[in-house]
Amino acid sequence: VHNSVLLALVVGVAIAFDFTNGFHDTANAVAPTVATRALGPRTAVALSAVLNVVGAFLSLKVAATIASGIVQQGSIVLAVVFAGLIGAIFWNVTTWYFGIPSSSSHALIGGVTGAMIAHAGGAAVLWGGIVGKVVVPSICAPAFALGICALATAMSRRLTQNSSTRAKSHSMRVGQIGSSALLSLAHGTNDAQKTMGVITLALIANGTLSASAATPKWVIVVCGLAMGMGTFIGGWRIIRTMGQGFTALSPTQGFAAQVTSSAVILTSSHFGIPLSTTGVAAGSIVGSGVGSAKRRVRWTLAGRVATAWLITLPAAALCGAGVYGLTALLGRTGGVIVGLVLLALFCAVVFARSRRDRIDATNVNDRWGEHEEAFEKETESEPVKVKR
Amino acid sequence: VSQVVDWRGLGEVLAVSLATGMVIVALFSLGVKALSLAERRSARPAERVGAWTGLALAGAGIVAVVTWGLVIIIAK
Repeated sequence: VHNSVLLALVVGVAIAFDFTNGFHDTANAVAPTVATRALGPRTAVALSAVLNVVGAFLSLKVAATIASGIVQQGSIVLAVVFAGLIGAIFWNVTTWYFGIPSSSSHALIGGVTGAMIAHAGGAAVLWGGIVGKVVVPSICAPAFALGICALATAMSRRLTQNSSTRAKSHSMRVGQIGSSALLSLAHGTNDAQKTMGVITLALIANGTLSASAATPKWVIVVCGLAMGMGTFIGGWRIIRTMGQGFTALSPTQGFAAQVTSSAVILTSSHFGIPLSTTGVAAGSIVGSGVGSAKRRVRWTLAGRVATAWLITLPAAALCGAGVYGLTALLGRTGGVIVGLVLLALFCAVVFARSRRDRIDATNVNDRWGEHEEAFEKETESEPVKVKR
Repeated sequence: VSQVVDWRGLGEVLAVSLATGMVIVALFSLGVKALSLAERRSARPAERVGAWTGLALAGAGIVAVVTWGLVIIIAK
């Protein structure tokens, strides 16, 4: 494959990754809003999609370079970026199928790290960076959010216990829409920039851009739109897990969860500490269950999701290393083609299987688990009819 | 591990997000309480004025916090 063709493929795969990032992370901003019926499912994802696109244009300081501080930047070649992106997409699609909210950023870091190990060996990986920027924050993010949200939910419950159901229910829903909008905006700014960084790096590695060049406008537009389209498609399987699976969310819990997520994510952005948005959002929702009057949380599901977080990095790394191995085994042309074909086949099979137990806007709020004991919502969760 | 992990930064994130999250939720909850009081038919005029004032203060606090959030997003 000629360098320019490989570059085009890397850009295409990066845009595909951005798209999967969008639908995979929709749940982080909208799951509580959808679960408590503050907004109809389609309206919620449409609003989130628009704000993700706006977020991508808000900041032009694209400082994010792929896996910065995780691998030796000088050793990155286009084939490593390509393999890393494919590994990340494999993991994103797999976790989406099982409805598991996992970090797209960690999947990308894992994919690139695996490909880098296959390309240049373990010495090219900055293991301290893996521990400091991925492992420890991935434990701290949900733990912080869980603790804060449990306290916030309990406090809100006490403060509003004598308030009218109408005031509580409606106000909390309005508050949720505001915090959901803020989260979507933050997500567009953070995550679209990561893909912009990947494409910019590929352009620099290919010699198309000079090392000091700014990100081209078309990259910003394409990344923003891909993220927005992915969000608009709506990762309903993950929205269902987050909104219905962990606990039965009342408007008070939903509001506390979304405010906590916004507070932790924005504060971590302010201090430059990389915390996973997915980990924070999931931790907040579990925390809202812990802080509720009945303290009902499906801990088995939460444990399963936590296990998936632990294996995100090695699983994506294995995929990335495997795809890079193909390019080493079959030559760059053969490896790239086989990698793309395998990815397309895998996505087609997963999509076909997902149609058997389809989850979309019409059934995203159905009761979780037919044979499980129903979780009753708190008293203020009177249903509000919304148009789907 | 202690050398590669920014424990101080993580501590700051925990402290500031705990304070911010709790303050927003408290303000909003007090606003809800004030709204509920103001809407009560049996509320006296003085109670009603106090409730609406509380609601306005809660609203102003939330607007301030949301503005802080937007500033962080845009400044990134």
